[in-house]
Amino acid sequence: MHWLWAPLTLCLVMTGLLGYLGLHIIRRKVIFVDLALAQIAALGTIYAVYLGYDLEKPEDAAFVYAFSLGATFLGAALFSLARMRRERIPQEAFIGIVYAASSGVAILLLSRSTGEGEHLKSMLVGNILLVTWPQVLKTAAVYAGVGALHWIWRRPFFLLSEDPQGAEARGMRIRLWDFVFYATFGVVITTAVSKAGVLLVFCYLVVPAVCAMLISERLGAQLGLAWLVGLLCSAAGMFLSYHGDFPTGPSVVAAFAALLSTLACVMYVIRSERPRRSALRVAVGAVVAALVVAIPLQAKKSPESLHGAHAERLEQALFSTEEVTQIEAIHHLAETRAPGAAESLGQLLDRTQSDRVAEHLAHALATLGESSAVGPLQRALGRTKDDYVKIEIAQALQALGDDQGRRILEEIARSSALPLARAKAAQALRGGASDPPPAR
Amino acid sequence: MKRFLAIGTGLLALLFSEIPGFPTSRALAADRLRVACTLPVLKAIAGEIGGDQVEAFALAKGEQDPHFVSPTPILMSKVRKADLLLEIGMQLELWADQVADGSGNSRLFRGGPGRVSTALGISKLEIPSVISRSQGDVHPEGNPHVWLDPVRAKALAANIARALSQARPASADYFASRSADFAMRVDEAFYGAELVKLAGSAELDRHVVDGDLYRFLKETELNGRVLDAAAGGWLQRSRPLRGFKAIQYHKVWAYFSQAFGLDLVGVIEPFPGIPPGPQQIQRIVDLVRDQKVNLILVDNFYEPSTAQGIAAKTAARVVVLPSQVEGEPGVRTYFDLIDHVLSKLLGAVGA
Repeated sequence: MHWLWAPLTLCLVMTGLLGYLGLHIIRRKVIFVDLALAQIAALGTIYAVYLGYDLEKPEDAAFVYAFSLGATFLGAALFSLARMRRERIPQEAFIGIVYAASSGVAILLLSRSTGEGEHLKSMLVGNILLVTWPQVLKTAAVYAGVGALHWIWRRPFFLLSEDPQGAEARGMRIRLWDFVFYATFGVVITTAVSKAGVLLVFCYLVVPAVCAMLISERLGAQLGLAWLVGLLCSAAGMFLSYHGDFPTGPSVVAAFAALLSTLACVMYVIRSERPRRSALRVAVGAVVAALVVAIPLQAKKSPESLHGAHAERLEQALFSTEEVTQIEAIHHLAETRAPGAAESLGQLLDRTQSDRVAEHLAHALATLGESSAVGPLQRALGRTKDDYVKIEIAQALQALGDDQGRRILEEIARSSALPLARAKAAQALRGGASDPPPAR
Repeated sequence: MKRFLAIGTGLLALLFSEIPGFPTSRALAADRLRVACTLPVLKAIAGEIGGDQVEAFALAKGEQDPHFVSPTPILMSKVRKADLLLEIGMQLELWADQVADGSGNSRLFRGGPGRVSTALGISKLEIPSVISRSQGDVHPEGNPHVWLDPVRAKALAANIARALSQARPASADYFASRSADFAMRVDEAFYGAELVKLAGSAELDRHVVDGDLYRFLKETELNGRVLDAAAGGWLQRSRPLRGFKAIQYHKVWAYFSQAFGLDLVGVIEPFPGIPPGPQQIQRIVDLVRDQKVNLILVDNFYEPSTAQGIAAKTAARVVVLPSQVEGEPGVRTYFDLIDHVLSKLLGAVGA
């Protein structure tokens, strides 16, 4: 499984930059800004497709990418303008509105564009498992560039995230710096989302930062901790995905959730003034949670109880509305020579409208060799217009000692309109083996 | 003079008939059965059967995933005045219920007289076995993509003809003769005229549905000549595809492969919408390598990147195919669809 290294590397690359950006995002209290920006970028792509550009064609790829990037910058501009001096409406409200609006417009555009529509919907899902090395390297290069910018401008960026009023008082141009921040952020998110999907990107952004902030209040320590958490969860998620054969993205998400809840409990106990009592509370909570999951498991339905016994099921299958099921049961009943089989098969022959089923039935009744089948076979002979089905029935009648079979075969060999049917009937008259219809 | 008058009146009538609301055009439109079809392929077949007695239209677009169509108000208003609603059934088009309910046209509600499940009585594949209970994880009603096999398409056409005749008994003979004509054209396009004349289409059809057509053609001799040598039409064209190994992204191509002798050995995504895990991908990659699979079939409405990722690790090629009439430009009839899919596959195997 050497090809798992590429997705794992991508996880580490994402940990590097997203873990860091998460510290900003949480300080700014704009948790869902990544979802909104990813949706805006998708809207850009969808607009390009609406204009007739094709995602799959290499010559259009640059154009489509430019649209997606342009939309991201537009979104960055929106968010930098939306910061209010006295926060009457929380910025999260605005972010949610942008998310809903861009999703809605995207669906409107999709309903009018031909083709592509369906796989654009899955654009936000991503499949990290099938990422290729060139994609990983490209992402790493972009992230290195953005990371360098953030290193150079780390002071203004953190000042802005932690204390916007103070920054403004010092004469910083808040809106410009905000725009630069959201624009770089948008590039990072868009690159990641197309490979890993919205869900995973959100986790990489938020969970390591939250874990780190739970443990430490110092920026440097937080960054180190965030990276450590990202690293651990990437590895654990990959391990879980490989050994349980689960989809990789959701596995990593599950690893993040598990680590965060464990860490939260541990920190609660450690920070508590009465650690023993807190530990007891956590333990009780864990037991309750386990019971809530485990008790319904006892009521799990077993698929066995839905079906009856074997023979009963076969008899029922003869009454199925599906030919395939009927034919399967016919073959099985003939092979096992079940008691009463000839009678049930004869009844089915009287019921069926299908020449195909009749052909299979005739062959099965010949194998069973019970003379009670002669009546249904004769009646079926009168109903069908198909020469091949008649041949099959005639042969069955012959095998059961009924003389009518021979006369029918002679008639078909003489006067059928189909050369192959004439040949088959003649062969049957010479005593040649008939061509058994295949079992399912 | 008389002739001039006749031509003059004729021209006038033509002119007026173009004016909306003019009695003649309205009478004509009202005279036709309005047949809403969930999928373009049903529209195409209903048009073949209905001729000028029927005005058929499709609700889904050709390039849309037939499982997921948004039931918009426009679709509902389209269905409001329809006489019939044709669907494949087998729980393929679950959205059709919402469209019918939203239209308020109670004839088309599930179980109503105008609602037609066209796959009824057609022999299905991938129905869970009663004996081994294999494929218990899949849909109990079987694989719904029946139209991709020409033989079953004829059965769809017969079901549609029956529904049209019930809705308009006066034209029953007309529909029956057009249905027979469609079946004959499918037979000739699929088997070629000579093979049909020698063996008869009913027998050939049964071998297709039983999945042993190619054994039958190779092992049966008539007048010292193997029956296979008489095969024409699509059978002749698809000869390079016989026995070719392929995997598919979703379980769409079972009927097509049965009819054309492709050997489908695996499915990338066994559960719709859930991406495959690493071991599943490794199994598929190993399968492609071990069995020397050449083709990965992907419907044009699915995201091809997973299939491309697997192709990049192996020697297989991804072929993106339309599974619907109108699924790609120029695919307007049922015959176009099969022709087009065959051309794409033949192009991919380099024949």
